[in-house]
Amino acid sequence: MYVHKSVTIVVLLIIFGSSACIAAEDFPTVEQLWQIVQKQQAELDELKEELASTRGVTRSVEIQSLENSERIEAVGEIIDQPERNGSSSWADRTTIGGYGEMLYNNETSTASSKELDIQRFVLFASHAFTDNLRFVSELEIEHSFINDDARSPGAVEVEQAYLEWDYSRNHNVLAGMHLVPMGLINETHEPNTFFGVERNRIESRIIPSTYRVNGIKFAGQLGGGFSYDLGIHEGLFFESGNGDELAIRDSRQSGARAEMDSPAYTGRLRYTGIPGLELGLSVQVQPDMTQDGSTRSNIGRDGVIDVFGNPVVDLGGVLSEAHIAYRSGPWGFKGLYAEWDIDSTIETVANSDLTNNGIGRDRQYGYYVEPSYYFNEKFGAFARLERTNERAGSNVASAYDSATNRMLLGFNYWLNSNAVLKLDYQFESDDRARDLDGFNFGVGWQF
Amino acid sequence: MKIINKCGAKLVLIFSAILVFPLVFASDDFISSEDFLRRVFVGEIPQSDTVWIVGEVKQVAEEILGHKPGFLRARYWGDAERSAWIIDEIGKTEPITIGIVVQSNQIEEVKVLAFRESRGWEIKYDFFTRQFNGVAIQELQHLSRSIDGISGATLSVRAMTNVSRLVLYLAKSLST
Repeated sequence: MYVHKSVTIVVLLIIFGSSACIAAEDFPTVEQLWQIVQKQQAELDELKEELASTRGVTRSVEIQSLENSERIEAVGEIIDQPERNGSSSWADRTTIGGYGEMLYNNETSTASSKELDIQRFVLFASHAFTDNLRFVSELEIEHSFINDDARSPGAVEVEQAYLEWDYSRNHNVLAGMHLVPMGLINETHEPNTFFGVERNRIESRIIPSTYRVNGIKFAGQLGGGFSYDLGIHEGLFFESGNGDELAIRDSRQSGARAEMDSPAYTGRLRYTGIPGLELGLSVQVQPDMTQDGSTRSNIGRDGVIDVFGNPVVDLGGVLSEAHIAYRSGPWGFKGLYAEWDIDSTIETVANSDLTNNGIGRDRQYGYYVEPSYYFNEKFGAFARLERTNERAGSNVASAYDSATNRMLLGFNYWLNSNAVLKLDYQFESDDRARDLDGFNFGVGWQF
Repeated sequence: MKIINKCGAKLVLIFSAILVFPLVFASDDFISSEDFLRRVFVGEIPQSDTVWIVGEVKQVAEEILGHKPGFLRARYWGDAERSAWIIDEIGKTEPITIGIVVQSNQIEEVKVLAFRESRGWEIKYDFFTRQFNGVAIQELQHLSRSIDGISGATLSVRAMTNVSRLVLYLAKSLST
């Protein structure tokens, strides 16, 4: 019992003593506290130094960022004004483009014709010397190639090559080979810009598109939607030859060493003052389409002779043309009338073998109307009614019932605004009831 | 006929000259960029800013124009509510400088500041540009109203239509 009590007292003393020691350790001494403060002060100083250093870096980054922004802005300013760094260079002022078309004709007639042809492949290049002086050119290969085979249908032709100068804000003058300002097709004939696989016949036979000439032309805007063109240029050149040389289309000189004994004059007035509408009137005066025929033998040309073999001179003519083009929403309409009034002397003109070829040619005319409907931006359908007569001045011999009529129905499908597929069917007949029906398919592009 | 032909050509030239040349130096309707902005903002031209044509903006701009934009940023004057933009776009071969004012995401005015093409000049006149007034863009950046074209000026009309769509898109991006 005594032993048990002694043990209990000892244990209690041990527990009590331990607790006292622990309590003493929880409350640091003044020295310990001072050391802690010193240590924390050192850490605080260190943090302050780091903060100051970080602030410096941040400020440096901010300055750098500001400088970079200013640099980017300065570069942007230069980019906005390319002429400052010379990037408005020769290349920037030179443009390359082109257009072309491949056509398939399947015509059913007594002389059935099926043909697939790269009808034209055109490359153009223009260069702006300054904002108001430029050079424009087009070089065309027709029917794929040329060679020394007489049957080769191809041709390499300069279609345009002129210098154009804007001598005032709304007026300019050009000199060189250019397109005659008449009709709807002659100046704008890229395949994606018109309906129909083939161009209309009136603007092929009466206005001989593509009708290009060497000369000088003034053009400009008169305000209120009116504009004018006025030019002096090479005239047509008739020859007696073997038949074709008296047709308007085949008498074009196309700028190739063109005879200039009698230049021609063309004037046009257009109104485009209402969006979607174009009205045009044009006149071409040809004082002498023999190009002073009495002198032709001097340069080895046939000249123009009548059925008795006498030379024909002073064969003048006037081509008049009027047209309308209108597009409003999905509806479109085009109409054109053109007529030649040629000296009646042409009725006596003969081929080289003295057979009469001029009969009825003193009056030649053609017209067409073409309504169309655009289902959407990619698909449009059209109908076109044409009538053409190249010997309307008479109705005897080869001029008898010489008019041709053609109706076309078809559509364009624009794969892209600059690429088009075309399909149409033609119902063609002449006044002698000879038919030339068939369908045409075309692929055209422009860039 | 022969008399008419011989005299006709000269008469055509003389009468045309009489008709045309007094009008040649008539006042034109072009204005400089500064005059355009001064008129739009009634005297005081605000500070300009730019939208960089990068990332998604570049992608959309390419879809609208049908080709890669020829500029890295588009400059505008004003703010998200009313802004004026001046953009160059090729017609057929030459750049057309077009000024467009946008108010509340609708076109307030379109003005051709410089036209350098041989054809398609009709687009610079009010009878054509007023079609754009009040036009906005819808989904896929199409204009809210169809624009009647000009015969023989397809490419110039297309250039102006596309620039209008682009500017409306960029102006809209200022407020988003």
